[in-house]
Amino acid sequence: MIEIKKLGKTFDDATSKTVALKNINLTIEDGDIYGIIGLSGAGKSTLVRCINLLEKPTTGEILIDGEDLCKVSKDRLREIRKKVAMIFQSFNLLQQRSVLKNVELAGEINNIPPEERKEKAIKLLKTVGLGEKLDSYPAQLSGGQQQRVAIARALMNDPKVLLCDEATSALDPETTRSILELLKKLNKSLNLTIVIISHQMSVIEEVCNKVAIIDKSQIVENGNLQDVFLKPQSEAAKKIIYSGRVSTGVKGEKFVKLMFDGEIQQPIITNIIQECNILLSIYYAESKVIAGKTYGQIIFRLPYYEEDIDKLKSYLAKNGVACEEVDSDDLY
Amino acid sequence: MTFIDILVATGETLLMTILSTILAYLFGLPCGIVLNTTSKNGVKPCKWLNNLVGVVVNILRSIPCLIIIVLCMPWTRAWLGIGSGAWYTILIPMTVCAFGFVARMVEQSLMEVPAGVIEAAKALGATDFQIIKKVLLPEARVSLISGVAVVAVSILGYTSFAYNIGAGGLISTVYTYFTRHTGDYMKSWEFWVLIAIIVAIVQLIQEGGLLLAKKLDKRKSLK
Ligand SMILES: Nc1ncnc2c1ncn2[C@@H]1O[C@H](COP(=O)(O)OP(=O)(O)OP(=O)(O)O)[C@@H](O)[C@H]1O
Ligand SMILES: [Mg+2]
Repeated sequence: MIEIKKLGKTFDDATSKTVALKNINLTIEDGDIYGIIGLSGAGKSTLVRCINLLEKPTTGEILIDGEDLCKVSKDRLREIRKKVAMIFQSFNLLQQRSVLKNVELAGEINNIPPEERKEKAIKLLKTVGLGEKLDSYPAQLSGGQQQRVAIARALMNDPKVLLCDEATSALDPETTRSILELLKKLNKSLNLTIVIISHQMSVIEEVCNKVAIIDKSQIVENGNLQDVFLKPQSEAAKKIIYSGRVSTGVKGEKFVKLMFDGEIQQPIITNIIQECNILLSIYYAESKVIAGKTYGQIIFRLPYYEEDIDKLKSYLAKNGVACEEVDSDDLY
Repeated sequence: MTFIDILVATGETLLMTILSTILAYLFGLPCGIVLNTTSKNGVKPCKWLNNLVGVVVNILRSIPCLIIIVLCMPWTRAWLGIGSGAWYTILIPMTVCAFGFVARMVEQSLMEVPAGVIEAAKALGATDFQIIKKVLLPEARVSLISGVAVVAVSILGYTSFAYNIGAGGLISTVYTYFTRHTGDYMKSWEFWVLIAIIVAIVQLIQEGGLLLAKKLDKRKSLK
């Protein structure tokens, strides 16, 4: 379990002071896939780099299984780092080492005997689907393949936690999906706790069970993925979650937003049209899968006549479909 | 001038160059590593050590080679028996002369290793020594080897000072030849043969270094 308590980080340069993190409190349970999302410069990288003390916190505590990283000796910190592995946006492989030797590096650092580490490295490379590329060099691999090597390297010392700083941001959507699948698989098979930093909603949506939203150095919202993503409370969270999604191109009009989950079986729109006898023009609709459940939203213009509005509202209430009235300016 | 004379001079130049280069690296490489790793963004920042080594290196680099030869004379005499007159009497001053240069070259080469790679090793729990041995030096090897070639060529150029202390070698032989045949040295074949040998050695070092560096580079040569 990772507990982050009152964490603060200020970068103190000769010329300027930058507050990168303020009063961060976060608990990451074993087996979680915890997403941390935020806009550029929000402090995501700084936060994740504090978890293995690549960045030294200015204030606060980082507890890993109850042990405060800021208080342990250097030797102990190195031991802990072997159990808290990390992968990076730019992969950070050694260019002059073959794929196999890159993975073996982690074992060399941990003083695993040569035979054993080679065997283990080969096994891990097979796990990540690169059993054929042992003697290639990083320059000969695609980005996705390089990230797989980095993952194999990270797994070499049987870590309990894997930190991913924008690990898929340099990859195309298809490759991103395959890397995320791999992470999910590792989470299940090894009970690996994973912390994923990303600015892409889709990445977090696809794999995480929990999420924290960080804005201007602070966590503005966190919790279960469904709770946060379907009902964001803070402005910052709404901005990130709905960013650029809905654009009607209409100003100063009222809209209705329907929100439904996979439980709903009936054809809502058809039923509204038939039963309430009102016509609708849909401006926006989407559905997505979060944590294995389907969620959707439909946005259409509010009917013109009061009586139609009443009919609509009572129909929706009767059928348990969540709805809210929104101004076109409030659509994100 | 006989064939044997030319052979001896070539041998002297090669010995002076190769041994001085090796000695310069023996001292310069550790200094370069210290300069790189103790710098502000290095693996293990340490201001006073960085400043100390930096100052020593800078001072030695700013004293002209000929003066260093004179300054080193007592030690050369004490350790090698004679202060001048044999090829090996140039080794000590040459090492002193070149090691600061080597230290800066090494520092530069190590700087080319991306910070992210070093960070990755840190995140794996590597000690500072492991980072130097397993990441910094191997990842910088292409640049380091090209550096050796540059240093060796410079040192070969510095062997002209061998003339001043009678340490022999090709360059001082060429110059001696000139002083004795000031009127017609351009017309004699010996003069040109000596120069051709010098050019050939420089080419050999340069191209050999480049070739080796390329061969060892796994970044592009394989693509
Ligand atoms: N080494 C550093 N020195 C000074 N300031 C820094 C340093 N690293 C980060 N910062 C500052 O801290 C703030 C947070 O940076 P951070 O890299 O954590 O953002 P991020 O959320 O990861 O952004 P991105 O999505 O662009 O990677 C920024 O204002 C940045 O300028
Ligand atoms: Mg970042």
